[in-house]
Amino acid sequence: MNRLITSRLAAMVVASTAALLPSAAQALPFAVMFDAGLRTMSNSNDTEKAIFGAKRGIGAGLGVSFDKGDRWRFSIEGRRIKRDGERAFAADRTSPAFRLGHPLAFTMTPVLASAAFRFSRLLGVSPYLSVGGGMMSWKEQSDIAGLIEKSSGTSGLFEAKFGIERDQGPVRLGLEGGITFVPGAVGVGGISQVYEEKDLGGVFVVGRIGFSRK
Amino acid sequence: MAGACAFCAWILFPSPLPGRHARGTAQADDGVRIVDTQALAARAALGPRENYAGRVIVQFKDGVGDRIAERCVEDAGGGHALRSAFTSRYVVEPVAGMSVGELSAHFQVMPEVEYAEQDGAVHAHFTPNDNLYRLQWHLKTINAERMWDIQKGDPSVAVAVLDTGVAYEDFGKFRKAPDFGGTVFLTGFNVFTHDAHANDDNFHGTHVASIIAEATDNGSGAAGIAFRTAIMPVKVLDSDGFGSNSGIAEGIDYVTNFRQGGVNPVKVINLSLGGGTRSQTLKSAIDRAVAAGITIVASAGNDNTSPVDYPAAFENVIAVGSVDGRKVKAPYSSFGADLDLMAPGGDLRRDDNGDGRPDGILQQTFDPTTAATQGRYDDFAYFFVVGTSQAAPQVSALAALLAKQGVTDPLAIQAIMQKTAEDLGAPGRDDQFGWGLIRPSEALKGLGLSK
Repeated sequence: MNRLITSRLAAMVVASTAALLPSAAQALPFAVMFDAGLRTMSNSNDTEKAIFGAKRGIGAGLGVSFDKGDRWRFSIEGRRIKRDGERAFAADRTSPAFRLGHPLAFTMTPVLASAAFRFSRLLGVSPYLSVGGGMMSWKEQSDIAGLIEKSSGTSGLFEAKFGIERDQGPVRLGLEGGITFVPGAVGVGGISQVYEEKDLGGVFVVGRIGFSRK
Repeated sequence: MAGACAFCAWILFPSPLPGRHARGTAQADDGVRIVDTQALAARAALGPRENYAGRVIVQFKDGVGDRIAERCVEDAGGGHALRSAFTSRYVVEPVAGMSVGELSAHFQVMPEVEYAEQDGAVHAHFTPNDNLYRLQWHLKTINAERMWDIQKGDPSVAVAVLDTGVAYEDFGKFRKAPDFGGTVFLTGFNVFTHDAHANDDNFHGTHVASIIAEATDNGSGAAGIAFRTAIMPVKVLDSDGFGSNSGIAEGIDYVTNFRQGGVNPVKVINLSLGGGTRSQTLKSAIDRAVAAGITIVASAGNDNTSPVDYPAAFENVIAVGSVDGRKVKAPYSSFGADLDLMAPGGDLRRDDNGDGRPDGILQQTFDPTTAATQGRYDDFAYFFVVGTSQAAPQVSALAALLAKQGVTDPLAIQAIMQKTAEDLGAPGRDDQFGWGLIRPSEALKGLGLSK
């Protein structure tokens, strides 16, 4: 039920933002943005360690943003985060995990809409705070001695982040960090069930470059 | 006093199926042609000759003709394409410089295409060529072929067989069993003579060790479950199949303290034996072994009584009961609150797989009658034997495979077997079946992130 509510809420955010896009595109300055950086699953820390070990998650994304005045920015963005790990086993939530060597690929594709408030420029950069919501679809694929086992799902996601940005003509360079929540995405099977962890989100740090048209 | 004979000797030679013999001879009456699967396996290890994963399967929608389909292939950037003889399905190779993913993506956006996906390589499942394998119904019951696709064991992991000894060497009047040709043996221990010559003078220990690691895929004889796993023979039972709690504790302590190259390769102790006495000496030895990372497996007992025997009844020992070919509890299998898992142990009065043979567990050992009457331990043959003594080594073999796969903690090994067991009897754990019948291929899969 919780998963259904969050998914619907997130879908409403994306849909309403998307509906505003055509008019916004005509009226407001916009930018195309690319980002890349480290993305963790720290909200399910034990699950992440069990499956991925010390390997970090790398994600890359693409989005568009629209500025309303100097303070507000609205954006739609999508990302792809692919992580490689191994199938594992743990006896219970307090037990260590054992990795069994079967390759496992986990791909997350979040799409979200967000609104950011830009603070006054400070030392040549503009700090901003952003919150948003959307949908996260994920796919898991294991190769067990030649047999492929797959699972997938979709859940609502919420994100809050803080960043700084520097404008250099039409180019925007930024660095941001934050946290994503994907509650109820997993936890009904696999190692996430053993560790009683349900959230695919976590903290992230990404670099960002945007190209704006004013 | 603990003993093995009480578990299975009484069911060694009955001939419950008229005109059939419990004793199988390796080469008689079979007349089968042997395919050299060793050579095939060696070829398979190199991987497929063809790059099957380097192409895309495209299923066009109903009504899309060949001309349109071929144009789509061209538009998508496909190279060589092969059409199915039965449906509008193409297997398309990308042109040079294009990835399979790119080609697949091009097809996926075409309105004429129902779906497009990357092709993939598959391979024949491992089937051992041992000529008596077809009579080893217990291996089919636990889906051993899929298990072997994942893991066959490795000599770096050993199972200690604490039993009547094992026919593992030519020494004095003892002979090495013929189908231990490729099996690796570690230095054993004889608690009666206090030396390394743990030779079998009963039959039981050799049969048990063969269930775990009889030479497999060698074109003759029967197959073992973890056939690349090393065996450590430890003789704790005498020629009549009897021993003592102190003797078993001595054997366990030998195993726990064993080192080879600075490490102890023994990850599992199999105890196809039991008795009714709770011994603190035995409990302490078991605790030390488990603390050292050794998984201990014991047979539940063959008296169809509750509770199960000791040492199976100890909390940190995996107690194993027996099912027949129908996955029904064997009539002799003991039960109770300490029962953990089930494995095929058979019932000589049944022939559920219809192979014309009684449903015992078929492995090599020597003829116990010849041994008892003539003092000869070289009359080797293949015997159908039933009992929880035969079920326990199947669980021990799985524990060894799990250890090789990366699960090294005894608690985790027990948990993974329990969680992946086929639930039999009342839902959940029950006193007749414990957590159910082992499913090795499921246990060896482990868990994904979400499933």
